[in-house]
Amino acid sequence: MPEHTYETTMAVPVPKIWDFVQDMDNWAPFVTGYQEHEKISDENSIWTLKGDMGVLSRTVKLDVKITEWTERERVEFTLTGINEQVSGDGTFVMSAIQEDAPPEPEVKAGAWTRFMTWLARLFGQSPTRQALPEPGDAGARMSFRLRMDAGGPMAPMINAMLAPALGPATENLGEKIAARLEEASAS
Amino acid sequence: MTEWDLSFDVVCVGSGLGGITAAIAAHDLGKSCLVLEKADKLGGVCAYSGGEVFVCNNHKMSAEGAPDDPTASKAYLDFLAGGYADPALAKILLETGPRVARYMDERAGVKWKIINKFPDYHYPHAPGTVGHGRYLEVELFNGADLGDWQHKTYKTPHMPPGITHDELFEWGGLACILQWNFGLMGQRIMADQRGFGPGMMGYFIKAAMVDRGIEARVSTPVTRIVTDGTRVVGVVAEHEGQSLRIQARNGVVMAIGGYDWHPDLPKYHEGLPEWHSMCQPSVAGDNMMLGGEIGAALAGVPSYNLGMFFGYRIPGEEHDGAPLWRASWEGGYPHAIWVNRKGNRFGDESFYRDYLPRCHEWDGVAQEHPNYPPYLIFDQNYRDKYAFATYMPGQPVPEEVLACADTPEELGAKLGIDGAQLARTLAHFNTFADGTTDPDFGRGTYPWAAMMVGDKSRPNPNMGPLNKGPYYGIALKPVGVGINSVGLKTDHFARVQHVRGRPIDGFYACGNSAAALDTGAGYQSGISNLRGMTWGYIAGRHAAGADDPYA
Repeated sequence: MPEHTYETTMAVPVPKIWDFVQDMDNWAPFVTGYQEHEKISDENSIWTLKGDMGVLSRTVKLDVKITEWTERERVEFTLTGINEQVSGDGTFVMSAIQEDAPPEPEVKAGAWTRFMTWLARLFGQSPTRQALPEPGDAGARMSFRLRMDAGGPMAPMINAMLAPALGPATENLGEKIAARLEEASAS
Repeated sequence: MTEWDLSFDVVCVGSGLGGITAAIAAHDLGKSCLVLEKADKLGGVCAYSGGEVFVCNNHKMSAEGAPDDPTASKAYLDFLAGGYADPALAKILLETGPRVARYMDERAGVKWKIINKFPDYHYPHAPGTVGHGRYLEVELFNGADLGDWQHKTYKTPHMPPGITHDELFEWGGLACILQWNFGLMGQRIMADQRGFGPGMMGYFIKAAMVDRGIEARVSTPVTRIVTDGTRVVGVVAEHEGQSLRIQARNGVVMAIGGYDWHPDLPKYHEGLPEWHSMCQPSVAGDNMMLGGEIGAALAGVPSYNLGMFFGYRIPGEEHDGAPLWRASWEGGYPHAIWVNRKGNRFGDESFYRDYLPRCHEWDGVAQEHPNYPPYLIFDQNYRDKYAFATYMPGQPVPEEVLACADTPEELGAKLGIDGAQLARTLAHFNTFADGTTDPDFGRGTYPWAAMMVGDKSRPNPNMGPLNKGPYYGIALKPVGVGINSVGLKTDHFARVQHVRGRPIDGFYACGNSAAALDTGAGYQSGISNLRGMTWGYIAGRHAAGADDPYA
């Protein structure tokens, strides 16, 4: 089942990130293919996305349910297709970067990451934000994980198409949230 | 004095099969060529098609040791034409088509193969038909071979991706979608392996743009044909907000699709009150506008039997920035029928050559189309086994798309048709639907239909009773595929004719830009691709000054 996790760091403290992320209205338009969303309750919302399947696009309605809500730390959710046979889940996690923490070991991009980056570029979704916290700058680390799994007889084909799309989608969302927060923080 | 921004020998307007073939043919005679495409990708209508090319007497049949019979081939094409074809043009198509197919095989690397045991539409009921051999398609094409053009070429939303006809039929055809190997299809999609129309156009575009280095420009609509008073000498095209004057020293080849997306022309020419299209929105009748401005003559063939379908639109589905209209094949599956608003069947729903003219029928007393719109009706037997659009068995279909009711009477009320008569029609149909014969309309008697839309597990692959509620229904709308009944009138060298009856020097048309005077009243899938390829070849060679454009 296709899954992708995107991690980024930003020169913004965790409370500010939380303030932004906790209200989905703030970041909903950053979701790839976003059309609209409707809050049903504190936990439930209905999302309408335009899904690009290469040769055509389809409007997909998703029922999103928040399953864990830990303030300033973690949000987990599930999603269920209303008009399509698809399901999945995801996680937002954020944590503060400690000023006196030892430097993070450099993580070399694996083949999958390189492929995803190439694919993102291919579809014109190359991340534009390059800023990372300077050494000693108290910032935060944020990760966004998304898993989607198609159902029904066409699942093997749809999942094959979903797999490379999740990387750019998660990266796009994470980068845009970070860019918006850093922009607000600098002003 | 005219000043040109660009100068070529031959300019092809449109990047479908006709335009690309014309460019290849002219290039191979030493001419410089430019292909201009209005859309942002190459491939045109052909890339949206099934990629079938119907070639009588083709070299692949000979290679199999079972050459076609030229007399039989002519008999079948004459049968299709129904007396509406120009015999001279029909003869050229019949005789030159196989030469062009061979040329593209041997000189352009197009890997043709015969679609196994795929019969002529009217086999075995019409003269000269065969059960195998005339349908060519290509082997899977590797999209990466297109280099920089890989992501600037069309793929189709209308055909299964990454497979061939042979695989589709081995897996049971369109009806038996649950038997398809979606895992393999997923792998092929990710590897950009292309079949059907995208595969065929892949080979042709590679031959032209990659192997021969022929220049092409996308997002460059032609807005005017330029003449010097006696002949066509170039075009004006728009690109990125700039107007380009492009010289065509030897000629301009008009090779775009038809007029599906034009707001008025389908209504004027196709004999139905509304029209939608499965094609890209760029297929908007530019051939008629551009030709008309320089006095080009139009010609037509009967509108009721060309390549078109009836279909529907699933809300939310789009392609190329436009609503996606789909052809409905479901009427030919078991447990499904078509009825008119009186609740009566009116044709063989598995064979669209039969029902299309009936949908066009006009009742001069009632002053209405008695069978328009047709309504697709099926039951829960159908929903348990077959897909509707891409809604798989067990997957709910929204009420806004498909009406659903517990009884035929209630379904009729929801659809606005005679429900009581619909119930009687189903009861009558069910008396023979588990058998092998449809005594009313001969459903399932065409092997082509059984192969394409049938389920071979049934006694009659195209029949099954509708006796399990709930019942489902939808009004179908006409959807074009860029093949229209009126086009530019062309002669034996593909030269466009002036309204005064003389050829317009330097101006050619092929494929769906040209009136189908070579095929007349009939249609056979793959014959439009044959027309595009053959007349594109003739146009390119004639423009290039070939002694024998047909060689």
